[in-house]
Amino acid sequence: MPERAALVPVRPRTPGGPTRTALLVFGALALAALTVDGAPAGAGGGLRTLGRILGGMLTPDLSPRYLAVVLGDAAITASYALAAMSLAGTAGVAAAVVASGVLYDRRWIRTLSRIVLALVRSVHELVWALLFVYAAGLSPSAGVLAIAVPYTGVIGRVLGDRLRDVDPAPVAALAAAGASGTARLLYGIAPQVSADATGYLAYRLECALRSAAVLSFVGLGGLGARIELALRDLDYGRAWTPIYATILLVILVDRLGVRHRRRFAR
Amino acid sequence: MSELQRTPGRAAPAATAAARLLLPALVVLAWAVVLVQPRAGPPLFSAEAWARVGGFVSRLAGMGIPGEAAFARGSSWASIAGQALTTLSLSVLAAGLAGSAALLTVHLAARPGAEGPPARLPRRALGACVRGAYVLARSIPELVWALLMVLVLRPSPLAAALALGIHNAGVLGRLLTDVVEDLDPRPARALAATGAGAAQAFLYGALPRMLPQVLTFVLYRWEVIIRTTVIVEAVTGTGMGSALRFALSGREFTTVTVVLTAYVALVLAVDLLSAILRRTIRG
Amino acid sequence: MDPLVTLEGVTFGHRDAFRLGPIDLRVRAGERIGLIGSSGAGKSTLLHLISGAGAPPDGGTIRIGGRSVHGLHRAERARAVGIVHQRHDLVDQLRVRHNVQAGLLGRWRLWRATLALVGPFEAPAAREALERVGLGDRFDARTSELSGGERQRVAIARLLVQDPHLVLADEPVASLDPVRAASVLELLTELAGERGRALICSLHQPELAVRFFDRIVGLRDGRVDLDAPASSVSTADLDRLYGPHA
Repeated sequence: MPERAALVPVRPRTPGGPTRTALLVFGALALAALTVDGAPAGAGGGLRTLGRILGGMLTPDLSPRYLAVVLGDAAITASYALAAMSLAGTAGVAAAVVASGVLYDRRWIRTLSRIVLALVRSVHELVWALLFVYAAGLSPSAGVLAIAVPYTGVIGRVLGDRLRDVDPAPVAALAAAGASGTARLLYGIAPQVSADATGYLAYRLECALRSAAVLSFVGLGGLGARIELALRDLDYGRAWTPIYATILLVILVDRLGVRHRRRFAR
Repeated sequence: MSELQRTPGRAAPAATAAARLLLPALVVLAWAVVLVQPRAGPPLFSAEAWARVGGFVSRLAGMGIPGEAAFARGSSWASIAGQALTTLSLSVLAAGLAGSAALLTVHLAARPGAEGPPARLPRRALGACVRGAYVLARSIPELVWALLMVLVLRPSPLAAALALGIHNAGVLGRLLTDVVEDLDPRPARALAATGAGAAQAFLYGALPRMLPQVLTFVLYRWEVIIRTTVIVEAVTGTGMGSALRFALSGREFTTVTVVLTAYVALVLAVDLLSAILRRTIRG
Repeated sequence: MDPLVTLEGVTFGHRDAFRLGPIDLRVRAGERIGLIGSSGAGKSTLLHLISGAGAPPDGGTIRIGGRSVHGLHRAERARAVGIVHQRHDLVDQLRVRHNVQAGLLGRWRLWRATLALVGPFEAPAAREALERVGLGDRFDARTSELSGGERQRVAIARLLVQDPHLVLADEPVASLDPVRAASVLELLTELAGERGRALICSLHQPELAVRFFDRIVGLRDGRVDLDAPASSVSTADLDRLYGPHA
């Protein structure tokens, strides 16, 4: 019956948590959109450039010599990422243990480490890289450090939170069985977070790859430098080859991480 | 009786042993590649490098340079505050664009559940396209997107917002796809049985349940976006990013200090705001 | 013979909301005590106090083997007393054998504990203990795959490996069905009775207590209201214990 299907106004209730936040977010969005000055497409190189970019996307330079060059760049970028993660992974886990206080719990140590981690991770790796380069000149270790330092901050913070949120009951049972703090960490706390932690580190490696690619803009070798070179010459065909290489590298690490994660969670 | 002995019978298969060695071997190889890269300047851990770092830091602190330090002048702080505001609104815009784009497309990207009817070919193809778009968007770093945007549009805040928005739409799309696929499909399916179309079933049956998690992810992502906005701005010529770039290339070290301080303050503020908002979602 | 466990004048109060004691109790080696009482009577609190793991009692002393349990070093305390709970004792993410081996952590140095965790090494004691509780074939299984009754057996195996003089059990079978509960209690009492170990096990089913234990101690409002051999516990005693409170 038509009347029953009509909408009847409902007495409005005050919106709950998620809805309120959503309204806040969209309000901020509207405000931001109004204050940002923009230009319509076509005011720059415009649609013609867009067309050329898309054209380059479909016809990347795949000549064997260039492919070899890009492959070399990919190896360099991957190496930077892996080297940085080897540092950030170990330092981050150590920082997580300190910041979460699971081994040695003193308020000032936890607060201090959390502040240091927060400061260190608030600066983007590219800014770190610029600072390193301006400060100490261009060196590959600087590039690795530029990624490793902020990543240690992030990993330390995220894993530290996970370590604190562990189920305390099995750990207490281990304590009753006579286990020391370190033994409790090994047998009771670490097993509870290890699946999550490995997945997170794999995700961070994927991020490190992208950071390493970007970092090569600063002058260190790698895919980013190759992209910038090509774009400076407006050679879109040559630009898309290293872009595709970046994409493939990221997908590869993503796939490996998924397979590894599934093995742990099973 | 508390000694250890080797586990009998089960020798670790060769494959797992090889796999366990693979990661360390790769790490060693990576370091080897990194350390042979050409260097323009002294090696990082040398006395000369440390001396240069020391000089750099002291110049940041305003020592040994002619004239007045930038951070002693009120006008520098006023101008950086204005640029920080631009950067902030840019990051909010980018986060909003990314979140909306992801939310609008995720119901296509999510693979239908195993128990329901299998999707028809056009729907599967469309889903694969959307997922492929996510991969493309998120694998290309924001900086590369910014370079492309600057070539199409002129260097402008819009270019920055689009670059950040597109990249993060891919990231959020991927994250939200997992969320949608893990959602209990029965409520939406029940709605579909009462005659609702696919989009309506998603709107009523899936979206409300996802909303808190979507907002949480967007807020977490905002923390990343604010850090990258500065980088993108260096290319698109707006806000704090370009201020930093000009200050560095112009060797105005004390201005660099001002910009860096404002940068860290902004990032920490956004982190705090994000945490507060995330808590209200749960509360 | 000197009693293994003595409690003298033990009192404990949760900010005056609940008071335990004063409690006097003597337990000899080899005794198996069923601790009963209605919910809130203080059974868990008492066991927790005796285990020495938390805060010491406000008043009185708890001694095991003549030494105050709260003054013991962690490794010594592990040899003195062990406790198994209703659930949550095991680390789900570890294999069964690691959970059982954990009973040796009080005695192992760190390098050995690590080796046992990550390398293809095992402790013969752990394997034996699992056999004793009837789960020898589950040595390599993932703990998360076990049923409730099997989990309790693994917890008991860990206790065997830890080998304390006093075994405490806090409502170990509360979440098991009657058949499983009976078999776990049978195992617990049989193993605990070996080698002069003493056992104090709290239960909320008095029928089970009377069936499996030699001596029954009943708590009511934080005080010992009943302390008699199982054979002489009457329905009147139980009514008084579980009846309406003052």
